[in-house]
Amino acid sequence: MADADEISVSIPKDLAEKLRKRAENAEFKSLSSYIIYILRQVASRIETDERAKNKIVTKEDEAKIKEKLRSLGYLE
Amino acid sequence: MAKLNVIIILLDGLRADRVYLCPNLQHIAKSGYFFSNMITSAPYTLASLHSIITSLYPSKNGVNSYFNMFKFKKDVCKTLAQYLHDKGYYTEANLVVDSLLPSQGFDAISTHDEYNDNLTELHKNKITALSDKPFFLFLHYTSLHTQSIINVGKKYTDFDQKFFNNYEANKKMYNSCLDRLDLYVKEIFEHAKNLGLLNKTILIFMSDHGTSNGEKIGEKMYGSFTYDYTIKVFCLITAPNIGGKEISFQTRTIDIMPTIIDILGIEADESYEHIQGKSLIPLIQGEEKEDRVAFSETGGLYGPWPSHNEHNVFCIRLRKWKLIYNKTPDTWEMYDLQNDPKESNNIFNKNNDFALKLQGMLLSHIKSNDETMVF
Repeated sequence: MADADEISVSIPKDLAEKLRKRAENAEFKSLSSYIIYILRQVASRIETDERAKNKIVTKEDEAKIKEKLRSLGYLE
Repeated sequence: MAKLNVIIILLDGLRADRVYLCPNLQHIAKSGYFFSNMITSAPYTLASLHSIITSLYPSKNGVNSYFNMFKFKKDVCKTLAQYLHDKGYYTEANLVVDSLLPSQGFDAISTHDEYNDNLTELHKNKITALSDKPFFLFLHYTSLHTQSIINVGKKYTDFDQKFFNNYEANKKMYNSCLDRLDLYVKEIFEHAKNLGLLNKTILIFMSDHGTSNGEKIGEKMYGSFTYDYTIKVFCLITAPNIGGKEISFQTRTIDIMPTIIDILGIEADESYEHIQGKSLIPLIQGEEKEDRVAFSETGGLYGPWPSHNEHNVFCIRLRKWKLIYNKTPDTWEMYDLQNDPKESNNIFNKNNDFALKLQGMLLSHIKSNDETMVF
């Protein structure tokens, strides 16, 4: 059963079976862990792609980074 | 069993080869596990700390350059702070700049003023305030960093002959800052002892990278190259009911996080990127008796090949050998560390089988951490 920080999502049985086999081959201890692992990777990649589409470092981020580097004594 | 607290004291910039000048640290080492031959994943604080707290190499966790400060892959990387937070710990860090660690899992991250704050008192107060609950506290001690910025960073360039022609004077200046650091170590340790924390706390003293004394032109402090004077660090772990032991096998800073969760009996969360380090317990218990292969990577803000958006200097280090790949000029360096510890005689030969083997291991490591990397 899902704990307070989790929700349940239904997926087709045949897909679950396919993923279960892959999870076993990849030595995951549970199907849930494997599916969450895949979803995390996808979510992360989407975010990375979106950032890349806009710009490698936004102007706002660049200003913040420079401020931090100044605090560390690396920039004048 | 009551939960053990975790305190990590980061001694920023302390070279492994100068620990012998810190008698208090050495004294504490007699009652803990002292890893005297540890290699950092990255020789500058930002990337080193993100790697330590995730047990993932910088190119894997996203923070693989100063300008990738905000690119930590929080959806796929789980920090030590998050592991402990999930187990009911209160988690806090005190740093010189808040973005040196990912915020994931921390209840609070505060900063200090390295030029004006009394870090000994500040950090003692942090420990006192938490002493009655299970906690994880990460304390960043920055006096060596401060002195390096004042004495070197603001005075010289990475190519300034005035600096690189004065190795002995630079060394003396660096060493003269160690008394203060060692006194801090003593006071923090005594304070924890007086609060009765030593029998319920994993207390770790460690450094994140070394610091140049002028060994190689092109790097006045750290972060541009992966030579031993910046990648060799140390780690001292004390915990209840353990004896003193020095472990001189080569280990990695990515091994610290899995060691902590191993001691605490916490299982790695396989729904995140799989931890790349390995618990140090088998080495402590004598079940494992060999050096671990270490990798390190960096990209300088300055130096000969500044690289602001990704790391461009990588190395693989075995106990006796090191192979370095400088991606930007596309050059290779290989050193026999046993006979040439100063890494002054590049013996790389592309027709040598052993060099080719190391080359394969390093390139495969780089590619496995960043599949977008083009050679």
